Amino acid sequence: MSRSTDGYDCDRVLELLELLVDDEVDATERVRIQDHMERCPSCARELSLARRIRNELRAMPQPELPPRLADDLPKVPETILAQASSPPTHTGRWAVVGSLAAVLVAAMLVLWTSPFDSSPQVVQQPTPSAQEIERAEAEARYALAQVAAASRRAGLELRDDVLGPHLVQPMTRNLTDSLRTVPNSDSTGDDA
Amino acid sequence: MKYTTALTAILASIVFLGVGVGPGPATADTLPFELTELFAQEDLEVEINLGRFLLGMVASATEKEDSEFSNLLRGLSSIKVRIANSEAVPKHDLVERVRKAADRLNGRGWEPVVRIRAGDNDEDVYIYVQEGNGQITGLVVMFAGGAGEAGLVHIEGEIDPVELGRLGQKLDLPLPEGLGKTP
Repeated sequence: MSRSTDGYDCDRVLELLELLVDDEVDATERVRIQDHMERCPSCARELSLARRIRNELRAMPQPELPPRLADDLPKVPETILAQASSPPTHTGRWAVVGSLAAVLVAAMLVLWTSPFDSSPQVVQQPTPSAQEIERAEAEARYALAQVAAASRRAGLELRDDVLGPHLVQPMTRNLTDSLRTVPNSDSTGDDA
Repeated sequence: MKYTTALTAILASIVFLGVGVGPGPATADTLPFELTELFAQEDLEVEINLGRFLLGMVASATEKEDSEFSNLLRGLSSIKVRIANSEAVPKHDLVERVRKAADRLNGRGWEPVVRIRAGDNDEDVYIYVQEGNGQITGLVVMFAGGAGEAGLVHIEGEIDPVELGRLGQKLDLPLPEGLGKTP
């Protein structure tokens, strides 16, 4: 580590490195940092590396915004958009890295969920149109009617195929037989 | 090389988070079989999939004109209907598929309410319910044979069977033209 006469040491220079790369330091600071760089090869290497990474990132192809995200963006409250577009209040390296990570993770989540539409609870549902609601109502009524119709058919089959031949008819036969035997027994009793 | 380290950390976290929160395989249905196992997509005459969101919207829309229907829908989280016609699949094949599906419901949290295996000329009907906290939380109705149709209706949510039965009496079966059809 080297320390210059104006008090700019390596830590201070590295702290300002990102601002320098993004041309966000004032002229006085720029001169002091450059003075330090001339005497400190380590910091000069860091600056060179930072510029190279920035240039490579800028040279990367611009990803296209997924259509659904583009549709949903107007729904984001303006306060959130204002916060997102306001200048950063933190100038530290990790604040920028953290922001970048958050943006990348958010983009990753959007891209990850886009091709699969099997989890509608994850993605905000678009409000259905009146026609869609009407259609859903007809379909729901149809589904419930199918349940009722199947239950009725099952009931009829039970009545005709199970209760009839196996319960009602035997009971009727038994009752008839019983009724037939009753007068005989009575007459037998009378005879006796 | 702090930038490289930082970028590596970011990429690693993206991959980690991506793997962790991605949808991955679809969540398991409460049925112990896939609906596509029962009826192939191309054999379907009717396909209906209504989720909680849409059912809630319908419940709100019908609140004034049909409060009974609205109340019933409000407790439901999904309705699925699949109807296949024996013009597409041989009748005995449909009957067999539905029988196997009904067998798979047994002992997997589904209680049989009605099981009618009618034979060649009549219709098999299966009605199963799933219970939770003393309430019916799932209903499966399957039928096959008879008129040559085979179908499944799967309803999830809080189901009041009395209300469902009362409402069912008032509903017409024919589905309006163009609805519930596979594209």
